[in-house]
Amino acid sequence: MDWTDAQYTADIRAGAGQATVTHRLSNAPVLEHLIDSRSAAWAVEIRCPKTLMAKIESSAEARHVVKWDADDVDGDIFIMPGLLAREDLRLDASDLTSLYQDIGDLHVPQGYWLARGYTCRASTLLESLLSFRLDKGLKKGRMEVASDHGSGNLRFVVNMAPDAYEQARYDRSVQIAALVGACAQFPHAFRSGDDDDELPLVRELRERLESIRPGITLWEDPATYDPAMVATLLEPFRPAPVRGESDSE
Amino acid sequence: MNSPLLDAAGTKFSRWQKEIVFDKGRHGEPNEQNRRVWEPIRERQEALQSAIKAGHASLGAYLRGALHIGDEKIDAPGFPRDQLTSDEFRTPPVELERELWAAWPGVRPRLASQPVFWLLCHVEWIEQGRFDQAGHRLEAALVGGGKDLEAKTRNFLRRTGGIPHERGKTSVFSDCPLARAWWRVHVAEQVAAVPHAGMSADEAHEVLHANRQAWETLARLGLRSVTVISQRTARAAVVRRLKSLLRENGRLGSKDVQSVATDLARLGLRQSPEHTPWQRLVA
Repeated sequence: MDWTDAQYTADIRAGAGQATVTHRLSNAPVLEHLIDSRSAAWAVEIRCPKTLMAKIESSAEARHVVKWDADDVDGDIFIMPGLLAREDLRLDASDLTSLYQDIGDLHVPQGYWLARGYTCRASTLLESLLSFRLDKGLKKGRMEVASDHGSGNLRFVVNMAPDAYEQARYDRSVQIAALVGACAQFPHAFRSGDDDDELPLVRELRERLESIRPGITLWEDPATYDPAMVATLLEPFRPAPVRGESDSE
Repeated sequence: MNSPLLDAAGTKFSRWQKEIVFDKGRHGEPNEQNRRVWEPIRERQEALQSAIKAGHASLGAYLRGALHIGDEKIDAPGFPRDQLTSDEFRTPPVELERELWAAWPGVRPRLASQPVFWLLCHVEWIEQGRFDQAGHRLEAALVGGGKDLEAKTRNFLRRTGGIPHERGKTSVFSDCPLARAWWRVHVAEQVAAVPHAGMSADEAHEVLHANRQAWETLARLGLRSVTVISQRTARAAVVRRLKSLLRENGRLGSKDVQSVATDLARLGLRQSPEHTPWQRLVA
């Protein structure tokens, strides 16, 4: 931000078909005045690249709910909060950083972003990566993991036998086993004929893993790639309580 | 079309596609050393070609087997014409694209963005004989133009829904003619709904239909690197500008789209196109 002491954050709680966004701005009196006078408005942009959808909703309230139609989206949905100029503005630049020292008033055209928050994804990385399905054709206790491009997204479908399917909903060990199965398929599933850019999901996985363990061996090197390690870096097992101790979780 | 059918077919679709095309990037050119890889793929490709040659009923049965959907009812959207010629199928003219879109009011972006949805539709349309004019043209429509078995197989996969494990999310916008038709009209309708755009849906569609590579560039940019152009006002401004270029130059190309979209991308970094006065947006 160009105001020396200003802070802008947005708390985003996303669920099915909607997100509740709470904007927080401090130490930017000029902007706060614009909001009060309705010359600026809080705004949230929703983008779903896969369905070529992007919309933006604005509000005078710092806490607002934005919604989207489930039939208009598929795959990742991105949420971008901020503050917009509703009209052409001339702002006092005296509180801004020294970069603006000699410019006098600052001209801000209508539609300009006055503040922008970090982009948030509406679902977690793992929700994007895995989905569990009941497969009545599987024998008791069996699980199969398959990559699925059919929807146009890359994800991994975990087919579970009926007796194991219910367990998958709450048993973390089963979920981690499924994740290991998915990670084992990365070397083959992440090959794309289009070398110009990496799938966003793959890029996000790479960035997440490299931030946890810099220099980690990933799926490009199948000979030394360890899917169990990758899976448990993303989602660690939780240890079972030692006999005689209570489970504090 | 119900979700369980889409879900069930999804993984089978991925597996089948990967088992019927040869991945040169992974295995290199087919040779004696990798015979055990390409030989079964070749056999599957030959089975597909045989099914195509045998006609729409055989091909429908083959595809149902590949997707493990048995006799399950697909319930694809209705087809507005009895049959299409192979040229109409591969390159639908403007009027046909609008006819198709109008005949599919229940198709929404969520479905239309899924290659497996389009393949399931094609299974039913193939069974109905929609691409089988006079019983001779199925092969021309579905695989025509491919110089060898691998190319013909890839043509088939592209034209009936796309090859997402190789082409990613662009498949439905670029490779499958009927999916491409739906998306072009869908976008045109959205452009027409922007009051300042000053264009009817037909006019916007004419621009989007003018050049295939230009359309594919527009879709790819909206999908990947310039997602701001999916905001309705931004998209209308882009199409309005493309209309002017088409009128001035008599043609439209990928570079035109790239240039206009890049300008809008720069604008989108600092301001919301949706909240920017229209005259400034198109200036």
